Amino acid sequence: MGTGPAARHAAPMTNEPHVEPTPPEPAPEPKKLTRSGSDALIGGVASGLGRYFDLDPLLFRVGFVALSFAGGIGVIAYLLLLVFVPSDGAERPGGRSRSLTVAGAVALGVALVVFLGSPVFFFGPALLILAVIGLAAYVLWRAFGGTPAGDPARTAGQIALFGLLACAVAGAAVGVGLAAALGGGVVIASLAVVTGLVLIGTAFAGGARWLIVPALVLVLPLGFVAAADIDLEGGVGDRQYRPAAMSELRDRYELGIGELDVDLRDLDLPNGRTDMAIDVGIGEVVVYVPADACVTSDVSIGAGLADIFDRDHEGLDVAFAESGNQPAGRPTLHIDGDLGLGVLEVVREGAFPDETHDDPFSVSSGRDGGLARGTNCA
Amino acid sequence: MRRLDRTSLVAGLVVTVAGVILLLDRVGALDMRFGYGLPLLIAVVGAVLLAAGLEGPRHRG
Repeated sequence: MGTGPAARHAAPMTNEPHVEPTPPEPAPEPKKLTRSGSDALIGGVASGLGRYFDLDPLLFRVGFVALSFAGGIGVIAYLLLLVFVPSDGAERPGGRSRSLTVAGAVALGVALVVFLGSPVFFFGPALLILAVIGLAAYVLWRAFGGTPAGDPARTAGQIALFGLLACAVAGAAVGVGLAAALGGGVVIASLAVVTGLVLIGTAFAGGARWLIVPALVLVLPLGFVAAADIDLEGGVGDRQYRPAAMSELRDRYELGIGELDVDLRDLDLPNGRTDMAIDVGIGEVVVYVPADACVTSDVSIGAGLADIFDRDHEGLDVAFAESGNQPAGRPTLHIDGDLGLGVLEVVREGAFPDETHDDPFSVSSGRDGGLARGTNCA
Repeated sequence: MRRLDRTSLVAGLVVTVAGVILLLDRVGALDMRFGYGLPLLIAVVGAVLLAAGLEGPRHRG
């Protein structure tokens, strides 16, 4: 028998069966929230949540639908999860990107609902703006190769980079919008058409997808400015006018951005109709009218509020005309108001206490001799 | 021969159409409003996303 190291390390000769050592069980991987690619009705968000929380996905689907009727919170939450929660990898065959397809389908669906104006689906302006910004941001993110990553640090880095790029694009969009509102709309629209034609032309030679982002930066702000009909050529700041004589009264009061006060209380308006136009891009306008004047109006506001003697018209595409009866022998001021974004308020000095002028058209008499139905005369 | 990039094609078409509509608005030939302007803008973005999603990522190299 040897006593050297070889003998010490020799395996003992026994009759017991040899048992292979079992490798240690690997530690269970931490549970990770992913979207389900195999059990997805839309984007696999509800299925992923159900798998993560060990609950029936139907509960989450019902929750998303229910919250969609609570100011659209469900839609926003679903879209955020769709964008930022990674898929489990089971994408559609054929190289199709399910998330992009879903995002596009959702955008077209929102567009259709808004266009049809269905009373069942109420989407406020805030949700629409969020949808536009979110979808544009998602296009930007994907255009730069963004994909949901499993590594939180990598995802955080991607989001930070995306945030910087989004800020740059937002700045460019604001610049385009300002240029359009300052009269450069024709040039910007022409550039958009040219960019679109270049995209079409290059599509047959492999494509130039990088042009999509600049094209959207041209089209989207210009579209907003055009829809609101914003005109900033009247300058920026706060303006107050208080003409004391008819010779000081202007035919038109213009302002680009700011607050405009037109105080006509010192003015002795002649009998008959006096026209006054107000053109403001973005801001607030207050017109104070003499106590004895009747007022008619023709108002157009892209987005905002018109408050004519406490009768409110608000929302998108506000347009109305109030002519009423114009009594002979009394001064009548006709206000032709055109605002892009903002508030137009017409008030009469101390004519009516608050509790009696909630709806002047609905009352036939008041403290000061009453309101003639269908007129804005005190 | 390089293959047709349908994403660029769709994006080009919708951007061109939107650009023409906006150009007509700016020269006063039509009056664009939020009522159909917002759906138009969302549809532009949606069409581009849909085309990109259906075609899939472009292979580089």
